[in-house]
Amino acid sequence: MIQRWTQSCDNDIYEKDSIITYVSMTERLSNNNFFIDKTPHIIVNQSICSGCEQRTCIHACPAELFVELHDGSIGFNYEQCLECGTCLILCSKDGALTWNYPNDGRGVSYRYG
Amino acid sequence: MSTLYDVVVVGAGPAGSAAAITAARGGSKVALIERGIYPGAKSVYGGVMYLKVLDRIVPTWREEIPFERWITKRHTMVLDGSTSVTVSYHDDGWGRHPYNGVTCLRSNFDSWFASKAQLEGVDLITATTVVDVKFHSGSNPSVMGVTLSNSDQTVGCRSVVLAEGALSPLADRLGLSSPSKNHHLTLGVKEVLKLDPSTIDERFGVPHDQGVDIEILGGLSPLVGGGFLYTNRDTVSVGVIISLESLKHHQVRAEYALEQIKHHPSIEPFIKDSMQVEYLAHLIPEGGWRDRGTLMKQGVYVTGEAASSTLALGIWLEGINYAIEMGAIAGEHATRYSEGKYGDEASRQYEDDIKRSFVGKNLKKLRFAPEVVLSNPIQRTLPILLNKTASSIFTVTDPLPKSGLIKTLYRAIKEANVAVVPTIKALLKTFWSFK
Ligand SMILES: Cc1cc2nc3c(=O)[nH]c(=O)nc-3n(C[C@H](O)[C@H](O)[C@H](O)COP(=O)(O)OP(=O)(O)OC[C@H]3O[C@@H](n4cnc5c(N)ncnc54)[C@H](O)[C@@H]3O)c2cc1C
Ligand code: SF4
Ligand code: SF4
Repeated sequence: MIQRWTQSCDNDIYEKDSIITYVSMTERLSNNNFFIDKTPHIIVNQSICSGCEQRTCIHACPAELFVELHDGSIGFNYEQCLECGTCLILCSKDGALTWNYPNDGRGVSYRYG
Repeated sequence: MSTLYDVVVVGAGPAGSAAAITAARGGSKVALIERGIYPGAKSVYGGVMYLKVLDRIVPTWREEIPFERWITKRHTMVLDGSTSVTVSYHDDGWGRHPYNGVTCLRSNFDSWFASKAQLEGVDLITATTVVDVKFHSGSNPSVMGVTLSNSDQTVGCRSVVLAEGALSPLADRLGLSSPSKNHHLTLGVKEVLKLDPSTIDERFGVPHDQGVDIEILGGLSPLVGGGFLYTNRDTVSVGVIISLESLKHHQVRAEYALEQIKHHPSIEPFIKDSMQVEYLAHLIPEGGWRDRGTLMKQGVYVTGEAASSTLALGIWLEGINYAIEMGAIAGEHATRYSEGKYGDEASRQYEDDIKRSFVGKNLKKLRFAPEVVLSNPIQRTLPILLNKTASSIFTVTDPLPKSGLIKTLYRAIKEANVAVVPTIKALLKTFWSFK
């Protein structure tokens, strides 16, 4: 599936608008090998997230695994996690994420690297 | 519980396998524990290695490594809008012994390197995550062993090498990581794209066993970082490296920046009609020497990227060679420690040996360079200035008369709307930081 998205880039020097044909994340991740663990290796603590305004995880996760649900809570899908750790480093609230590597070789398994 | 191993190495990346090899050669019984189902299953990097460092560890590497292409062309491409200025260097000699850079896939390379450790008698244990390090209690609280995700028993050992990579939860937990490490992280996202080998030869202008390395500056605005495009045999690697600070600040997705680079008119012709076969992401600690943290404590040696070993000049990365050298030194020290040959001076001796190696020397010498490469003048001003200047030099203006170089520069500066003095200062600073 191909989507179109528009992004406006603004900075202090010049402005431009670019329209780029963009592959959906679902398609982008569909070629990766994942051995899915039965239990999630990252756990989101909703009661801490409910007090978070930045919601950095949503924009920062390169696999787009965090979403804001209608009720304002955070939806998270651990299954296609790339185990990069960006969410852990950039999350602004202590204790919101319990972050571990998956066990027993589970999780992403790169064929190229 | 009896001691099973002299040395346990955590992580079979380049640093870990190098450590396992030198520890085994020093006479230790070594376990090399890797959380991926094979070494390389969790590994992500850009794509070019500089392996002369292996001459002392695996002298036959040139005949053995599972390589893709020997790099004979290096380009640095500076993007702005829909234009680019490129500096290229071509060296046909790099395609022959003793070679320079080489593209290798990590799944192949890490497995090959770990197999070299196995040949030295190292026990390679895969699909197993080390979850904790245990210490003896009492007056001499040195390391006792490690615990694994898939068993409640402790694997006993006398020394541990932590080669767990950029994200280092174990070193963090033991209080060994530098507190500033997380402030100097960049995120790399990359795609592997499939193309016919002959198409790659044609598009990049190289014979089948030679390859091209393109580093990219600019074109990511508003994010801060750089990009790369490397040729493998029948795939190319294209990616961006973005400072986490800017990712947090601008709330623009890293994968959008990747898409921006892929669609730049100077990049797109290289990769068009390719098929994406993998999408990867990984962090890079760019703090270098400042962020090495505590390198050794109670028999636990931290090495490789867990100790910020990478020489990261923003977009020019040398990580594999630095991780191998630092890992090799850690393995030698861990062996001596496990034999009880060290007293209180163990930690200082490891640090001194790192300092004396090219790892310590280069990281120290270039310690200000990453900041400069990621600074505003280099990220924003330089690409605009270079491109505007090149455009006015190369665009024929008939019937208007040509303007001289000074006037061209002056106009570029005005058009780029940059402050002259800070820019000149920044360029001098850049020069200074690489001196
Ligand atoms: C996007 C990107 C581009 C790069 N480009 C280049 C480049 O072109 N050239 C270059 O030379 N360098 C490059 N680098 C840097 C290079 O990848 C690193 O310097 C190098 O991988 C560091 O090696 P390491 O052995 O220290 O860590 P890693 O390679 O990260 O290896 C760590 C290993 O430990 C394992 N592990 C971690 N924790 C545990 C645990 N608890 N239990 C068991 N196993 C564990 C991991 O699975 C992994 O195999 C790049 C990095 C990135 C992210
Ligand atoms: S995970 Fe962290 S950044 Fe994301 S919503 Fe929760 S507290 Fe905020
Ligand atoms: S580790 Fe990386 S890929 Fe996984 S959820 Fe966090 S940010 Fe996303």
